[in-house]
Amino acid sequence: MMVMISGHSLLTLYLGLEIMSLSLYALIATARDRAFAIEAALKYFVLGAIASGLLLYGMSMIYGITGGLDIAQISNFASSSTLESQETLILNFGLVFLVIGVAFKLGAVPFHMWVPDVYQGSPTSVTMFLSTVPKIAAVALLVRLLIDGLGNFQQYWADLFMILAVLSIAVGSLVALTQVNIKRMLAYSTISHVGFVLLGFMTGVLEGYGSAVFYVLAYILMSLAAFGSIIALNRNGFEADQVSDFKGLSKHSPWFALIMLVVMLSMAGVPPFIGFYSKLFILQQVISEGYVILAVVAVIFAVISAYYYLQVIKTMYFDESDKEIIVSAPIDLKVVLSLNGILILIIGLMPSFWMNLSVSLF
Amino acid sequence: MMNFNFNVSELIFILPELFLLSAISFILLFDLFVSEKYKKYSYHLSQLALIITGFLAFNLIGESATIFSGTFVLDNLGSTFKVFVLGFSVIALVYSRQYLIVHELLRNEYFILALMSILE
Repeated sequence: MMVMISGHSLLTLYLGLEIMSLSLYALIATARDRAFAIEAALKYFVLGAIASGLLLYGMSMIYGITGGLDIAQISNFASSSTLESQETLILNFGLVFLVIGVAFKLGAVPFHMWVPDVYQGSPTSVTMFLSTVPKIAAVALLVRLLIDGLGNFQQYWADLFMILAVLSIAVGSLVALTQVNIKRMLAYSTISHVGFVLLGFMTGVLEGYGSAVFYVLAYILMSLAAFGSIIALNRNGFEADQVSDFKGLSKHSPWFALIMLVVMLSMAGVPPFIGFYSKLFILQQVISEGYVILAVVAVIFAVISAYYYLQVIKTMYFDESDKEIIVSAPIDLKVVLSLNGILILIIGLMPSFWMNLSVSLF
Repeated sequence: MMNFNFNVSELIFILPELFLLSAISFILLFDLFVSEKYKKYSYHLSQLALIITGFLAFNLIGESATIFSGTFVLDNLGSTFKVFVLGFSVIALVYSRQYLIVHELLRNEYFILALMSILE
């Protein structure tokens, strides 16, 4: 991810993406005696290869027309005022494939088909890793390729992002409603969060980019805490991956139940947690750029998605447990998980510092 | 043709990456040669490597340079993203280890693979 974040040439960006993905495929397959994990690894590998192919196709198109791999050279070419209509057409063609590659890595609809299966099949520790840290690298890839490289074509990729964002938010929110497996539910929730991130980038203004970065960081913090809580419920031979496994958690372990409550409320976008402000900043930018209907649609689906987050809370606090719950986490996990939960609240109480930091990056 | 220039002083800008790469190599060898009793320390070494790399990346915030004939860029966005990647990874590895212990999946390759994906 570090090479990818600093890539300034199509070559280094692609190299970083491929080698990172290879390590991730192997990481999923470390649980080699679980059929589901191997299936997930293969599925991720095959679909990842297709996405890399599409991305490479787009890159070859861009390289063909600009004659360079350097992002600065591409940017110079794309911003020159003497572009012929054919050159614009080919750049646009390449651009579409770049957007597809980035959308696949982020897991935006309609390139999301790998997300639920891979999240469910992977060992929970790998799911947590996959759903969090590589998202930063994917955002960096987006920034390098589309904002640094093809910033002059913002109006073209913004339209694509708008479609991806609305579809992601809608599919992510609606399909998650019927999930009983919490890893699968979080996978669909990731898809809907990615929709919000793309909305931020769609606006095309620095504040919009900044709020999208803030959203990604906030999402990762929440996702880490959610998976951390799931892992804390795991014990010998017992995989806590159903929503029903959280039944009666509040009686057995009120502190962990409270952390999960904070995470779920934050993901649903309830103030004063970080998830509320990240959504608020994105919607502010979307509205100030004049996309009021988009903002209304996003809010409606955010309200729909609150149902399945609240369902987890209801399961923890109001359902009686039919089996014994033992939370036998070691002290380091307890401390880090508690800090993680507290951070979600604290950053939510003073979001402006982080928001200013995110905007200053562009 | 691309013109490749290389200046040793440019290496300072990829110090975090260089350190992480060395650390991965060291942990791999450590895992190979130490006795069974000490293998559990691979996890601690991985965490230490992540924290030190994060510190190095943090130190580079504010610097900006385009090196290696324009294939590698160091700017505020990159350095800040790196610090967040490394910080979140530390948290993720703490949670991961517990899961791996409980499900008897704990192998040191897990941490090596995670570190490698973080590096690339």
